[in-house]
Amino acid sequence: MKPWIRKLHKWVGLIIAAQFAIWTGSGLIMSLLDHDAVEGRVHRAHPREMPSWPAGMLAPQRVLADAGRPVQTLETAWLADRPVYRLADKADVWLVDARTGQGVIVDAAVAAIIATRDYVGGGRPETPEFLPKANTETRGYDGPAWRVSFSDGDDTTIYLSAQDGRILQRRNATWRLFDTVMMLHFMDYSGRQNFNNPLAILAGSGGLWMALSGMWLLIASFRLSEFTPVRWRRKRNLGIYAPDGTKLRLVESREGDSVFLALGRSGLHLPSNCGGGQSCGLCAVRLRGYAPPSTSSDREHLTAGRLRLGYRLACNLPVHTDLEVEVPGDAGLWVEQTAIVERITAVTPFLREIRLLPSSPIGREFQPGSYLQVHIPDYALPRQHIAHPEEHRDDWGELDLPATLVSKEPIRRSYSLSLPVEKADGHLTLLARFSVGSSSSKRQFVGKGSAYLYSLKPGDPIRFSGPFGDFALRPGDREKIFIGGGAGMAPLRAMIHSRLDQGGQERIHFWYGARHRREAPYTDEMAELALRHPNFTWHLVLSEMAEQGVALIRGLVHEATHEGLLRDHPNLKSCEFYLCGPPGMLSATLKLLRSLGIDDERIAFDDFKI
Amino acid sequence: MKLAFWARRAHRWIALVVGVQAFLWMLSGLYMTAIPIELIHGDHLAHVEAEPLPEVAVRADTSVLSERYPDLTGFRLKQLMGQTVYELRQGGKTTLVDSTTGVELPPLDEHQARRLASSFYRGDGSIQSMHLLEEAPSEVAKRPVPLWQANFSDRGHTTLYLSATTGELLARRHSFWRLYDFLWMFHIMDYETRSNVNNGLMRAAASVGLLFAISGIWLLVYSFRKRKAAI
Repeated sequence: MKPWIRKLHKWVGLIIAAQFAIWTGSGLIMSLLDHDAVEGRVHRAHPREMPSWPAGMLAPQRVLADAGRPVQTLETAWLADRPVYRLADKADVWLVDARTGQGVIVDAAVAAIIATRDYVGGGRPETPEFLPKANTETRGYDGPAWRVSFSDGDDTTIYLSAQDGRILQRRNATWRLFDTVMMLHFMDYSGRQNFNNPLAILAGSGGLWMALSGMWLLIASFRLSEFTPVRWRRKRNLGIYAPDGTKLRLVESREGDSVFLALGRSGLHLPSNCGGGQSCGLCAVRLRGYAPPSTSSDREHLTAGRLRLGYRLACNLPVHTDLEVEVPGDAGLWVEQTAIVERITAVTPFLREIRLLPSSPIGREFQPGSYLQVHIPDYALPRQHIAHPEEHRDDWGELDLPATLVSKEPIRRSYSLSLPVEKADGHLTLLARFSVGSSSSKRQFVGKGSAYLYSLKPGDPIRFSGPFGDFALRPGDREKIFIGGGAGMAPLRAMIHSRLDQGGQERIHFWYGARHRREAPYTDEMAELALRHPNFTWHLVLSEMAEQGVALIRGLVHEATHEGLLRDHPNLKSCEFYLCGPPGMLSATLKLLRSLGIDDERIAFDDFKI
Repeated sequence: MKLAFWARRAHRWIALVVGVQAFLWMLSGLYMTAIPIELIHGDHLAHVEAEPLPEVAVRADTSVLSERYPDLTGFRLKQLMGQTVYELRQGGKTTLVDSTTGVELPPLDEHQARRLASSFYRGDGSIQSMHLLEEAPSEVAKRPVPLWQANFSDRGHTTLYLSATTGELLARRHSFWRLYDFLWMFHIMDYETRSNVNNGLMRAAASVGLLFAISGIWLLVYSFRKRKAAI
């Protein structure tokens, strides 16, 4: 149940987050602004004591008789120093002089007197301004009004009804700020006072979901022991091992921490994009010995086979007793390594082979299928720094890149090895795709890793850690079927080279999909391998334009593989599958293989998971 | 990654501090936005209809009234249950006087208050109980006393409050209003008067709430990040 709550919390959060910040921010401002100042009580004079109603005034029955229209109420009032009768009928209100019975008009002079008597402070009144129709500052009243502004620091403005001289509102700068903030809080951007609007209701519903799901996640993610200060908790030893069983380090941990947190406290950061929130699935470790039952988050991110082997998400794995875990990439996890860019080859317009010479020799843990995390510093690169060979000029010309490519903080990006290290004389070979967003939007989005890697020149230093990942060739000589697309070429190519160089005699098939021939890397190399090794066959599948050529197949790679190989294969269940490519291709292929009844155990894949 | 690690820890621990309050804000806010304010005000429950003043009913001489009530500061002529009356103001005190005879009227008795409340009422219940209160209950804390409390037997537990001295309809209260007021208390975190938004608790909670929102936005940056940029 938890993974979907987490996902929905995240996605609703994406929509609601800004408004939530506005709600709390505006709420804070409204709470900080002094309510008396907002209500205009700071510059309001103490109400004067009412004088006795003078004798000799016109009898009310006379006034009623002279009104010549129905009157619902009649009451005494003072317009500045003049006794008046205030008559009302439904929404209509008018004044009559209490001595003479004449109609009374509230003019600028009397408005100024009333406003000035209501005011205390250093400001001087400006000439009253007549408003035939009330404005937004007189909320709720829409008859004619007088506006009297005062020249004080608070921009005090007093509004009077032009019908009966009543003071309608006392406004000031504080109120205006409050009102703007209130508008943002209510989400009523036109009338400013209707909080029963659909937008607010919708956002409120989203907010309530955030609160409910958040509380659920909170309860589910906190362990009781986390509330005990670290030093009061029992010490536990956390043994860190490499996948080959080498002991790397002993970390002191406290009971109740998650393995992820315990390592984090010791400065050892497992690969993770989400920061230990059980949502990226990168921090898997393998428990040596007894593994606790898997949780829903484990099952969400790890295959049944890996769960059986004892893999669990470190961020969801509490330390209760001494534990021994195998971490991916062993020492590479916390050792930053350096290398020098030796050679850059543009194998297609938007795929670039980058060959690195590591500063110190690298170990045999750099196996085909594993990946490095390249440490990308913050940068601001002028577009000209991204060079490309002359023959790719047209392809690059179609891109609309920003003048400066910026990345504000250091990040890490993962790249698979594209050639076995032994074959590359101890070099690391990466294949980097230039990732750009849709060209329909005005400014093109450029991947931060892409921009950095494409700006490198031979001789430039580069920092990385690794290797990581569990995508690897399985021992044994089962028939192997590689299916890939796009930059998924990299790990598959490394694996194929590795296997052929080992002298593997089993059948090896490689089906690779691209859109155009121009976008398919290493086609000549693959064709040449197929000539040299009779047990290796290579098929290029083009989805958009099948150019002339005998070995070309048009269509989607998984469909083409199905038709050309899998459908009529006599012994599919004993084959091994290695997949790598863009998400759409990968999921379609997995679906196909499952529909063919292939056991998950026989399928290894590496995703560009989002 | 390190930043994501800290963003998530911050968000979780801040949530622990303001999580429940954030939930109360959202719940009360949603209630306040989803239920129309006119319904909360109870406009549908009671309605005051005013008839025009009949001239013939106004006979009492105001100068005589001025003499009888020497500290008279003003008056108002209005209709009350078919009768035309003067509502005389002497400082803070209000007195009703028959506009024809000039006779002072006693405060509303239970029978009158009951009749008046029924004439205002627009719901489908009937009066269950009437109470004359010398001290205003908290749901009408700022209204002048003495007042008549008329409780109706409808589903919303409607209560109308009438001024015992002037017969004015002072307030309409019912379940939706009471829940609104209760939730409003949680929304502004003033558990005593339910009206002071400038309280320290509210200021502190709103500040932490803002931090909470910012930490959440910060975390969003990481939550949607690609697992791998490119192979």
